[in-house]
Amino acid sequence: MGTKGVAQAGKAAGRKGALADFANTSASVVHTAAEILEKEIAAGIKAAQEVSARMEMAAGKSPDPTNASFLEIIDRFEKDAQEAVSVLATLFRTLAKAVESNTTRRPKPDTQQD
Amino acid sequence: MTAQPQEPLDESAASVSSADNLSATRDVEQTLGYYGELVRDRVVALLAHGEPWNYLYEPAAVYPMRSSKNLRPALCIATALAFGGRLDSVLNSAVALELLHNAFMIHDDVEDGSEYRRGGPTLHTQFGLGIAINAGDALSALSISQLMENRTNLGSGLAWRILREFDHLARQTVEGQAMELGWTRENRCDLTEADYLRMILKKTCWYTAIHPCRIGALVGLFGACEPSRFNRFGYYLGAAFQIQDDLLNLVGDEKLYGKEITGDLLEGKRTLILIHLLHNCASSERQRLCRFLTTPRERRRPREVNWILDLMGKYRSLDYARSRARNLAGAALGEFALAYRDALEGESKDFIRGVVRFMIEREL
Repeated sequence: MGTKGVAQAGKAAGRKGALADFANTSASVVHTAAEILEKEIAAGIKAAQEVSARMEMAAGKSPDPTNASFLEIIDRFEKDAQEAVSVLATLFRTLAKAVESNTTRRPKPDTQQD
Repeated sequence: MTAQPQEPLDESAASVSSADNLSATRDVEQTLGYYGELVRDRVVALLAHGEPWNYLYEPAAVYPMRSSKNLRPALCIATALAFGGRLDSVLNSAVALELLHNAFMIHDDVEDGSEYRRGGPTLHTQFGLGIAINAGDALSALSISQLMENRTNLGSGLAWRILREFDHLARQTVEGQAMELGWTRENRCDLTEADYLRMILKKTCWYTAIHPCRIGALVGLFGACEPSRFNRFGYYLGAAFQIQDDLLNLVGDEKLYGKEITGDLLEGKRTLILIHLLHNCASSERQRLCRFLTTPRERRRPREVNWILDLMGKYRSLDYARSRARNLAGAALGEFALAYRDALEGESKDFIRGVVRFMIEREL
């Protein structure tokens, strides 16, 4: 029959049942569609809640500048950094003294060897 | 809990004469054309001065410049106006819908290997695959820009709610598209009507009807509404639209329809018509049909396509789909009465009511 034949036959048959089909809102396809919509929306809400919960969990672990534990960590880091700096400064001072001491003890060049 | 579909049906809509139908269809087409022109002007203005013109903005403007139904922006605008909104308040969202729709179409044509769209060659056949995909990306990006503009006239709160509507519609659409592509790839021959209805809810209905109406109402009522009241109306309307689209793809007039006729069969798409046929034909016919569907597109022959069309006539698969489209349109009309019950009486409300019948009577 091909495309045109099917189209013409369909149009003729279609006009007859059009109004009856149009008025039949209790058709099975409408019920199936309604159920699918409800399920999809429920699944969407559940998925959104799960994403939201995961985001909240992730946010709890991330560094929040107003979070007390985060501030404590920063404070400890600053103290540790200060201690590290003071240790290094002491070390440099010790080294500097040692170098100075070595320098003063070094023998003067022997200019009278010959 | 599964809520039951609404029964009320506007009896007058089911008993109007064919002359009234023709007039109503013309009115709907004119209004679609009017809103479409408004949106197209904005889209073209957005693209007109872009560079690189030849490689990006010119190809991106090709589909928007071609004649189209403009259904999505028209539903959005008319719903906003029906609930007391202003045209300039809703235009950004309507333009964003049309931009995203054009982006989807470009990528959809690539994914399906389609050759014609809106009466001309598909973008990838005209400009090449890379340019076409990139033009689709550009239109998606521009749709986001339009939504950001909503902050200026709607405020941050409402602009954010509309952005979330877009987020949902975009994700649903790509998920639905993935289902359809996956079914073709795996040559699924065991699908049911429920599978099809779920797929088109995701692929078509959210972005074609449900969200355009929801967004229109949010703008019209300045956020003071529960947009879920439009879900059923939009779903039934969108499903009737998609089934009619599947029918036109098989038996439509190519000049009016704008795409290659029987293209869906050549692409192996699981339409409601094909699913009905697979369930109702003889075992030997089913085997031959499944073999056809495993054949690569370039090796599918017109003789086989005509054989399938004849089978669709023999087993009344086309009539079955027409009947289902009308059932869904009738249900949409019942839901319209509820969803738009407190909308202002006038042209916009009449237009949306007219769109329901247009969905199943259109030839384009």
